[in-house]
Amino acid sequence: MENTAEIRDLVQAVLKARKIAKIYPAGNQTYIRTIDAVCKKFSEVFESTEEITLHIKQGEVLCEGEQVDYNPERHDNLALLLYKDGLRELTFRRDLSREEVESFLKVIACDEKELIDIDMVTLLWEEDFQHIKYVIDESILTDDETYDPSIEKRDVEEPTESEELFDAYRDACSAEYVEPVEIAPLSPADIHDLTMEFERDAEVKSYKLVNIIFELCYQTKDSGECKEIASILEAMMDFFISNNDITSIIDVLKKITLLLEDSQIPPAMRVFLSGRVNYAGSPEIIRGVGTLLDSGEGIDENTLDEFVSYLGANAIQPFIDVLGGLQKISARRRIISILALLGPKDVGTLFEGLSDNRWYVVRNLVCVARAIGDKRAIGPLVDALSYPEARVRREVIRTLGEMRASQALPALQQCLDDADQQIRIATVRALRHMRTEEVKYLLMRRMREDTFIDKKYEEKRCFFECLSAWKDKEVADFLADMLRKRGVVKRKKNYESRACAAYALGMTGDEGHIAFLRKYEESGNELLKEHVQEAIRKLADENE
Amino acid sequence: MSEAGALNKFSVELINNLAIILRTTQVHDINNDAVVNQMERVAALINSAAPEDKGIRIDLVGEFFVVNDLKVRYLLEYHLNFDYLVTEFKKRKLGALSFTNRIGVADLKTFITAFISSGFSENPFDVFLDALAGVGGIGAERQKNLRLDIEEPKDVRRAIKKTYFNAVSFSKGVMTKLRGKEPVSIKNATRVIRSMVDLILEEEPLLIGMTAIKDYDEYTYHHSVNVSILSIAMGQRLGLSKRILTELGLAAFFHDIGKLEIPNEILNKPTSFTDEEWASMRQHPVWGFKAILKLKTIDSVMIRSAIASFEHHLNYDYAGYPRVQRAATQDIYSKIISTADQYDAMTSSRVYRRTAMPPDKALSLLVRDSGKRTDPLLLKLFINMVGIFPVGTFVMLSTNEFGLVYESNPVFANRPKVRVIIDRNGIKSDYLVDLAERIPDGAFARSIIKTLDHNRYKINLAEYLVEGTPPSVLPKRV
Repeated sequence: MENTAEIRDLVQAVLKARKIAKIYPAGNQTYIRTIDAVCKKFSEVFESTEEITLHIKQGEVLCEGEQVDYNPERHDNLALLLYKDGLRELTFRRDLSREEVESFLKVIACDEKELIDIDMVTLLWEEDFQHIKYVIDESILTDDETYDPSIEKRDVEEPTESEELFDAYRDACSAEYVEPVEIAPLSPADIHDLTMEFERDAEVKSYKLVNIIFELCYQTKDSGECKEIASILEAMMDFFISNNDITSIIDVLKKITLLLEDSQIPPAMRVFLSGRVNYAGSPEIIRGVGTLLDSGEGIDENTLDEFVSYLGANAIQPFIDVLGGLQKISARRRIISILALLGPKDVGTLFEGLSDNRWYVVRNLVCVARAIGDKRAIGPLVDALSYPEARVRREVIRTLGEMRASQALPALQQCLDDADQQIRIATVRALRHMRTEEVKYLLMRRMREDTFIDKKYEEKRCFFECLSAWKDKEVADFLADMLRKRGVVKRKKNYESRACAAYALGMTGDEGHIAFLRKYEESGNELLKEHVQEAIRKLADENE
Repeated sequence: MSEAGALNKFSVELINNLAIILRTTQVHDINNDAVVNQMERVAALINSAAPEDKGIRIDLVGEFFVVNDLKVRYLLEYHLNFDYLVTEFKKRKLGALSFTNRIGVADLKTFITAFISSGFSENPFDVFLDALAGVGGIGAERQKNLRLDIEEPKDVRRAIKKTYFNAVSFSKGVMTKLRGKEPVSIKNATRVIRSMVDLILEEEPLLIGMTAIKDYDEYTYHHSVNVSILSIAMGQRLGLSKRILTELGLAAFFHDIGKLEIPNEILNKPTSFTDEEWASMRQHPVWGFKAILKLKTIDSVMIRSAIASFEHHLNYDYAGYPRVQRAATQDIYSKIISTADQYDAMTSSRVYRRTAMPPDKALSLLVRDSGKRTDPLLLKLFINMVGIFPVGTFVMLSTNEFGLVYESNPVFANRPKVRVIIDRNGIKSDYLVDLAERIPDGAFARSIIKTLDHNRYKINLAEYLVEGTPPSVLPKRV
C-alpha cells in the first residue's frame, strides 16, 4: 500500500493519544493538542483513501498485510487487549468526526482493571459510531468446553419425511376453519403510553429490591436460606454505598429494625437480620461513606446522622481507619463528629486508636475524646503525651485541660518543662481550665523561679493571663508584687514580666487595682506603660 | 426555529405522511376520499417546501432517512410509520426519491400505484422506475452500499442462524456452569445478547422466526434465548436504546435460571405434578432472583434482571406466584418478559406437557386471558410483532396451498409471507407467497383459512426456516 508510512504514523499517533487520554482530563490543553494531532493525521490519510482498515493480531496491527504497529509486551498492549475481546478488524471511514475520535480514544484509554463486567467491544458498540466499523470473532464466547455444537446440527439436519408432510396436508384439508384473534394495529397513543411507562420505570429499582428481599425473610425455612438472604443484604448494601446511596441503606436498616419486632419472622432469620445491622458498620460500608464525604458531592447532614444512629460499636474502628485516608478537612470533621456519637459505645476501641502511628489520626481522635468527655480517656491521653509529634501533644494537653483531668497534673507539670514553647504555652492554658488551688500554687511557684524571667514574652504573658483567672486576693497580691519588682540586671526582661503582671491585674476585674496601676501609668518603659494603660481601661470599662 | 430544525420538522411530516398514504392505499382504493385527501395534503406539503433550485431529495441511509443532506431525527410516536417506510424502500431496493417540480394528486396517484405494484415483482426497483416514467417531477435511485442488501438473502439467514445457535450453545454452557456452581461470565452473556440486539435492529422478522424452532430435548436453552429475542424485539418496537435493549435481553436470558434448583426428577416427570412438586416449581422465580444476585457484584442491570426473574410469573392481575405480602407494581421489564415467556412456553413441548400449542392457538389463549395474565397493551404489541399467524405456523390457504408462515408482515398482522410446501394440486412444492398480494380486482390473492398443529407430525421446522435454498417467489414444482 502506498500510504503505509502515513498509516503507521497515524496508528502511532493514536497510541500516543491513548496514553495522553489516560493521564489528562478532556479539557486539558495537552489533551486537546493531542486530539488535534490525531484528527490531522486522519484527515491527511483520508485525502488519498475512503477508509482505513486495520487488522488486529495478538501483538501487532496490520494494514493491507503490512505491519503498522508491533508490541510483544503483554502489559499496555492495545492490539492484544482488542484481540482478546474478539476484535479482528477495525475500519475508520472518511467523515470521521472529532467527537468520534475523542469517543474512540476514551474507549481504548479505558483502564484494563476497570474492564471486569464489560469489554472493549461492548464499549465500542455502545458508542454506536457512524464512521468506525469493526469485525468481531464471536466464537471466542463459546470456545470453552461447555460449548455444544451438536445443538445446531440436531436442530437442522433431520429432514422431514414426505409421508409426514402429506399426513399433515390431509389433516389440514379436513381441519376446522380458523378464527384468528382480532387485534388492532398499535396506535401512536399505544406506543406513547408504553414509552411513558418505560420512562416512569427507568430509575434504579433499589427500593423494590429491598422490598423483595424482606418479603423473602418471611419465607425462610432453614439457616441456609437465612444465610443466603443475609449475604444478599450485604451485597445490596455494598451496591448502595458504591452508588453513594445512603438513603437506601437507611431503608434497609429501618426495615431490619421493624422486622426484628415482627413475630412472623422466623427466629433464625431474626438472628441473621440483627447481624446485618452490624454490616452497615463494616469496613466496606464505612470506607464508602468516607469516599462519599471526601468526594465533595455533599451529603445531607440529617441523612448521615440517621445512618449513624443505626450503627453499633463495630463501626468505630472502620471510621478510625477511614480518618487516615481522607483528604478534605470538612470530611474529617464529619467523621470526628460521627466518632464522638459512636465513641461512647466502645471507648476502649476508640482510645486504642490513640496509639495509631498516623499522627493526624491520633490528633483527630484526641478531638473525639474531648468531645465525648469520658474520664476513661484520661489514662490513654496521658500516655499520648509522649507522642513524638508536637501537634498531637498539644491537642492532648488542651483536651486534658478541658476535661479538668486533675489526675493528669503530674504529667502536665512535666510538660511545663518541654523544650517546645508551644507545648509549654498549651500546658499553661490547659492548667487554667483546672482552676484548683494546687494548680494556682504550681503556677505561682513556677513564676517565682529565677529562670522565669528569661522566658519569651508570649509564654510569660500566658502564665500571667492564666493565673489571673483565679481572681483572689492571693493572686492579686502576687501580681502586684511582680509589678513592683524592679531589676538591675536583665532590665528589658524584667519590664516584660512587670508589663505582663499589669496586664493580668487588668484581667482580674477588681477596680480596686486601678489606683495601684496608675503609679506606673507614666512609666518610661513603653511596654509597661501600654500594658498598664490597657489594664486600667479594661478595669474601668468592666466596672462602669 | 433554526433552518435545520425547520427542515427536520418538515422532513418528519413528509415521511410520516408518505408512510400513512402508502399504508392506507394497501387497505383502501386509491380513489377513496380519505386517500385522496391525504394525497392532497402530501402534495401541498411537497409544493410548499420544494425550493425551485434544489427540490427535495429523500435518501435512505442504513435505517435512517436523510432529507436534503439532513439526517432526520424522528419522534417516537412516528416510529412505526418510519420503520414501515424503511422496510418498503428496502423491499424495492429504493435508495432515494426526489421531487424536483410541483406535483399534483394525479402525480402522486401514479407514484403510489407504481410503489404498491412494484412490491410484488421480481425486480421491484425496475418495475417501480418504469411505472414512474410518466411523472416528470418525481425521480428514484437504486439503493447502494446497504450491507445486508449486497449479501445474498441466504447469507443473511445463515448469519442469523449462526447468531441464534451461538446463543443457544452459550445458554447451555451457562446453565451447565451454574449447575456445577462455576462462575458465569456476564461480560460474555452481554456480548451474546448484544449480537442479538444488532440483528433485531436489522432483521427482526428473521430472528423472531428462529424462535419458532423448538427443541424438546434442549428446551431450557432454546427458551432462554427465545424469550430474550422476543423481549428485545418488543423493546425495539418501542424505540428503546441499544443499551436498554441489551439490559432487557439479559434479564430475559436469565429469567428462568431459578429452574436449575428444581430437581431433575420433577422437571422431567412425565406425569402430573403433585401439590408438593408444584410448590417446588412455583419457587423458581424466588430461586432465580437469588441466583441472579449471586452471579456477580450487584449493579443496576443485575437488579433489573433479578426483579424480572422474581416477577415473571406474578401476572398482570397479581394472581400468579410467588405470593407476596405487599405487592409492588410489576416492572415493565417483567411484563414484557412474562408475555414472551408465556408465548414461548405455550408453543414448546416439555416433558410435563408433551404437546406444544400451535402459535395461533397460543395467541388466542393469551388474548383470552389478557388483563389477567398479561398486560393488554403489551400483548397487543406482541401480536402485532409476531403476527396473528406467527412464523412457523402451519397453514392452509384459501387456494388450497399448504405451507408454513415464513415471515411476518409488519403492517398487516394477518397477512404474512407463507412458504408453500404442498401446492393446490396436492403436489410437493417449494415457493414463497405474500398474503398481502392482491389480484387485479383488488381482493387479496390468498388468505389463511386453516391452521395445523405441526407438533403432531415429525416436521422439522428448522429445515424450512433456516436451512436449504430459500424458496422462490414463483411457484416451482419439485
